[in-house]
Amino acid sequence: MTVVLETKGLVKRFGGLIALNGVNFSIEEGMIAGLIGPNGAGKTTFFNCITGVYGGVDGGDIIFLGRSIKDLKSHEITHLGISRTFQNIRLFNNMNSIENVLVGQHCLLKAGLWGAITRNEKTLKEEKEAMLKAKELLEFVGLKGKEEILAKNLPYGDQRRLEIARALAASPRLLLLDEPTAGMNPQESRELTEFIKRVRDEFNLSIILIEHDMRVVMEISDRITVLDYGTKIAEGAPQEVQKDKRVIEAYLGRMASAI
Amino acid sequence: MVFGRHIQRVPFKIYMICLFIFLLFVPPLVGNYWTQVLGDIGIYIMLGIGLNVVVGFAGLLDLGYVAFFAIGAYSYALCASPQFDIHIPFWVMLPVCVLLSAIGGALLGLPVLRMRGDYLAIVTLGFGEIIRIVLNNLDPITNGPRGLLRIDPPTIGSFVINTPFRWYYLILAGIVISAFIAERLNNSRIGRAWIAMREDQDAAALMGIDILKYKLLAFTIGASFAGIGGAIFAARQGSIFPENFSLMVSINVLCLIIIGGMGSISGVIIGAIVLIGLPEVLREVQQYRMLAFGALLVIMMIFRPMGFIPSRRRKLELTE
Repeated sequence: MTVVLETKGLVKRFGGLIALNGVNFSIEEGMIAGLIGPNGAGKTTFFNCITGVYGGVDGGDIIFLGRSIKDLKSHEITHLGISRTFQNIRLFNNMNSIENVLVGQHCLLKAGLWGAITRNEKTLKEEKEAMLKAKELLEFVGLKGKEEILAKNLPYGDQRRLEIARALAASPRLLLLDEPTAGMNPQESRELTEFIKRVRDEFNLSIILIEHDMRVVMEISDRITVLDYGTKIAEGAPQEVQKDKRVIEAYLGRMASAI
Repeated sequence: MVFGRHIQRVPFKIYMICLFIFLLFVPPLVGNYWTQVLGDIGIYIMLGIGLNVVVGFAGLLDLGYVAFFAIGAYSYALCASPQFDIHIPFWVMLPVCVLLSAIGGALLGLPVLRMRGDYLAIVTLGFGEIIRIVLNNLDPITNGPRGLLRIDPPTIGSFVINTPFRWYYLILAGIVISAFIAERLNNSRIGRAWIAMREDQDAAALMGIDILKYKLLAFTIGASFAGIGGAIFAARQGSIFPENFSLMVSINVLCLIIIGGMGSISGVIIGAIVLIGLPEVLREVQQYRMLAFGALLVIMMIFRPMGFIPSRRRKLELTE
């Protein structure tokens, strides 16, 4: 199995606060890796570092498909094949579903100024294919028939799905999902869990998942990494992590682990 | 928005063609004076279409747009007037003016486009004023406040474009081309990237959009439209002065976009007619002219806050 993404001693500081403190992490092809930890553990910071949101890290390295990406800009990282969703949904609210997915395909399309103005054969063909792909993706995530609805007018669950469709539109090798089931009821969470597995299988990609819903994480993750105060405190298969003393401590406090 | 809307598009196209044919016959009907006024409006429409790319599509508030208008106008005037006794034909200078304005846009854009919102507005405002002050003080080249006089009019063979009627058709052609380009850009991958950037810059970057590149592109394209407008303005006036390029021009262009409906090209056209044409119509009421005009604007913003013809997307934003 090839390693898709690897971080070595990743450090990120915000002033005096050490948000990530030497995190080593790796994910292999086709894997779903769960990333858990109490609030403020640095999970989203970890995603932001990978996707170049901060424009650099304070130490360590991030290797994606054999290439260091720690100094690349967000859009360059997306071009290489990492897509993500956001903890608090960040769709392009005043664009409809299909346009959102089309923007997601941005880095796969080529049309420049000349193509846009002359609308030549090549551009028309490209746009047509992009539309087709966007429609297929919407159908895949279960938004068929909602192509023309503005993103902000979609129900919450659909917005989550649209965000995933938009991320998939870039044909990523690695998908980062930041709390995809946040705000969903157990029924919806279960559906989404199944859906994430399907995404992995059909698109042949690796997924890193930040999730608070333990049932979801334990069920779909091949491996789980636990962060606490920016430090990796445990790693392993779901069953191992569940029993780990330091994990229980981090979540429930020292007393609980003693019981 | 996307190409899938052919069915709705066709009647709109026919409607536009009818409007265009009608516009061809307007000058003989309204006479010299109103044709002149229509020419003024036309230049503002061109500027509006350009600024609309920057403000309406890409969401960058540019308050120094007049700078690029000035660059276009002075580039033409310096190369086609007795100032240096250079007389390069209008049609050769037109692309040069566009290019120079575009370069101006890129040069300003590179350092300032990292800023967002209000900060960008202030810096561009400053830039607009700097250009005007430079024109005013660079006496040996620009002739300072005395301006550049006797600028060559454009010619086609031995046909000189020097009457309001002739100018009307040249400007109309300019508008049609600008509107066409802007509309095509809006409905393309580039237009989508701009709107995504306007909606959520960070999310757009994470979707693979090179923010700096697309901001720069919007800025440069907007500036090139101003360059065309500037060259036409200089050639049409026959003489230009630094005071032609005051802050008020930037504000007027921005106003006409807002009045017409941000992001929509037909809105820009209506906006220019209202903002530039109405004061002419209101000459009847003489000294109350500006008062009446102000009142009209206030009333209009109360009853149609999204502008006369808002773009489809803006309309949805405001009503839902």
